[in-house]
Amino acid sequence: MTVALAGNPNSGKTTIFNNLTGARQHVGNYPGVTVERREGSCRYQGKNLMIVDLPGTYSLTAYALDEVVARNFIIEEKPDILVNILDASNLERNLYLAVQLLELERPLVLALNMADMAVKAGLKIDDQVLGAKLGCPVVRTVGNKQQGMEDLLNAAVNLGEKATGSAFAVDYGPEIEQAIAKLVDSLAAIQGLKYPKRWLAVKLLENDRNVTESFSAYEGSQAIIANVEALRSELTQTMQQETELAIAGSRYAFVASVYNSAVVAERAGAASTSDKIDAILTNRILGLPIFFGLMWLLFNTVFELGTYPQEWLETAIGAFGDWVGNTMPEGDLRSLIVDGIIGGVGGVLSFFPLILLLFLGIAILEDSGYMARAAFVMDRVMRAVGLHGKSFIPLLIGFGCTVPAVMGTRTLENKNDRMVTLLVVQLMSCGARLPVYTLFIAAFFPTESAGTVLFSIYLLGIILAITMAYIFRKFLFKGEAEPFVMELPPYHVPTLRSIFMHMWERGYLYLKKAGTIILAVSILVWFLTNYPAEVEYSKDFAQAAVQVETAFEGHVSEDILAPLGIEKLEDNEALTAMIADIKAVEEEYGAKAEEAGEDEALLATIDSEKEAKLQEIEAGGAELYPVAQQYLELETAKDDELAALQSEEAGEKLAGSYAGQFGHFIEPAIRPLGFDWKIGVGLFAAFTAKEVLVSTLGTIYSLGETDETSVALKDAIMADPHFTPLIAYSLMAFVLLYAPCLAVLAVVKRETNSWKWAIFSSIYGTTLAYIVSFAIYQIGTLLGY
Amino acid sequence: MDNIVIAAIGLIALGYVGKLVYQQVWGNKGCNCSSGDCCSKKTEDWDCKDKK
Repeated sequence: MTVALAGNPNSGKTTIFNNLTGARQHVGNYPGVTVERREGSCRYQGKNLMIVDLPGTYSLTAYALDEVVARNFIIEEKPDILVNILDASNLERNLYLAVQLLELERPLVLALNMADMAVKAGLKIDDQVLGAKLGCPVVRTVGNKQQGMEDLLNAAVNLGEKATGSAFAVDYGPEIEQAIAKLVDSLAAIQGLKYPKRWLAVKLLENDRNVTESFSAYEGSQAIIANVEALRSELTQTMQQETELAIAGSRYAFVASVYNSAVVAERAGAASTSDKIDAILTNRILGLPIFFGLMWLLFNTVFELGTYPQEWLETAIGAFGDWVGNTMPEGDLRSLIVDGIIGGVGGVLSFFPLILLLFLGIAILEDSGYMARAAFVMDRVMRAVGLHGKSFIPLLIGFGCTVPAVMGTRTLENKNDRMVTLLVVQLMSCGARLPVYTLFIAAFFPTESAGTVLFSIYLLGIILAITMAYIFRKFLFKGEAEPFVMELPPYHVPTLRSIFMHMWERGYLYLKKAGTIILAVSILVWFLTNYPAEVEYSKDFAQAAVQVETAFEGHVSEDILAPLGIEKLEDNEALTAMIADIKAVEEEYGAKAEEAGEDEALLATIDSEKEAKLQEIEAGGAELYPVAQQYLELETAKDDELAALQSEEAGEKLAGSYAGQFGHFIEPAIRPLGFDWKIGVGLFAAFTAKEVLVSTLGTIYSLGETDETSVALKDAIMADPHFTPLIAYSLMAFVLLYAPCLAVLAVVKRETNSWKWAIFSSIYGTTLAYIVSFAIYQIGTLLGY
Repeated sequence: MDNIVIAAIGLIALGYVGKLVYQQVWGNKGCNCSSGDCCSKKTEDWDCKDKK
């Protein structure tokens, strides 16, 4: 038995769908969250029910693509039971669709959802009267509290067993009724008609383009369509108004009469809490500053709170890498696991807390009802570029992920508006880019301005999306801006369950991505940066290392051993012990100084304690102390030289690898943006998923490290002399704007049904990124940054 | 032995990325049907009931 959930946008269909099927489809307190149909199953009273969640629609005359999906399923696929979910607190408006569904003569259950909100709004609904007037069962539900689900299933199953449609008809007045009767008679001659005759007659008279087109495929339909034209002009003349307006008017009048007889508004006219909040949040002057203030607060909070757990995770992953490195024997397999997998995927995984926090913020914005208000306050700005506020909703969804944002453009009725929005949505910064920003902001910008720098990147995305929308509207998709009509849902206090679900949904996807695509790409990047195993070096590094060792031994022998009259260091036990003691003190206080960080007072204390200990050692053998110090200086110089040689060798090996060769090949093109070959390789690999930039740099820097212990990627980047704050900002802007990831390109192709637009979005994004990053780097360099 | 393990890991990773790229670029025939059939069922375009 198929049960379809239909209703106005934002009436709570998906919440009920999730309750009935146990699914976790995304819900939000704004219209247009569901843009394609979803199916799930549930078992009730021994029956298997297939529940279908449909996109919201205000009427069966569909305009937007998501409405077409709902309407086609209801009309063409004829589900066994239709459940019309109505927002009980907005009953009169919701009843218009209910009447249209009843006219389809299908078994229908009315679910008065958000019944608690209706009571709060002072609406007293008489279910009995409503059911009697409309001739269908009525149940009350509160989706977000899982109330009334049993009643709903019970009513649906009972009605399904009877399998009878309603004999419902609106009285359209004598003239229209006469025309309907004539058409119903002529329709009797059509073979295999899949629509109810009266409903089809009304739709033809309403001049419903989709129905007329569908009907025209039937044999003998042409004569009827011609007759409809004649009837319509006749009716227009008789009634002095368009037929479709007269039909809609009769329906509204019927809805009003049903509403008035079934509902008593106890507190009519009183301003609701939502109205009072809206007076401030959607205020003409305050609306925009409040919106940008909230965005600033969101990104500051994400950064401020998120970096602590991120650092803990980074330390834990680093320690795990060290443990694996110390456990496994040296070789390529160890390098693959430590440098490739742990260095790559670990870098991405450490940003998991920030992703959770970002989606916590987005979930609060969505569930509270502010999302629709943001669209409303941005309407004036969007109108200036030839779009309207509704286009801003997909842009806001784009802060989470660009894929649903592209699909969200289905809610836009006008094709030009939809195409423009679809093309600029990629400029909004998705969650996948957050790890890249956080990495570079934490490395190159002071803590107190970090949140503002992050906000500036998101703001840059919004500004450029609006600018590009203007350009596309002016040159590619010309046309007049349409009026903006959008329902502002009442404010809700978001429930913990829905926020947790939202965070889990996105967090799970992030972890899944880290464990699949990012893991696979990290492995491939390791191969490309590690092979060919033998590259052409500029010198014989092994020979050079031997020379350094020999020179050190020569110095020790000449400057230390000969004056003391010994052949090797161990021959003087006191000197050997002193060297060991000095080394122990240096190590102990070196570790303490590292822990102290930038705490100058603590560093001074540590320094004086260290000096005292060294003086103690010196007092134990004043003659030998300078000799020991000299030996240690020679040893340090030798170690530094060997490390420099190793680093140079690792650098040459990386540069000679396949990835290095590719990076150096493209480097001249990206050099004007301040990027080196490593960034080039990262940006290229990140085409698969944006986080891959972090994992690729993680692998490259991990391979480039000569130290045995893992160094955090942030520290490795900070130590790279190539990077400056200006280059970091130029790179963040490039990551924000350049070609979207593969998944987005595929969805752009799917939604536009053409690779042309997918390729276009890639090319224009990369060109825009190049221009913006070039400007940032070159102007910044000229200004001396 | 190590080399065999490394090669196997590399091949699996390459196969996975290759499959992903194939699915996104060539495997996705697009959803050109207004009923949304092929989108929701993740089936191919020719399953679209509009076109039958």
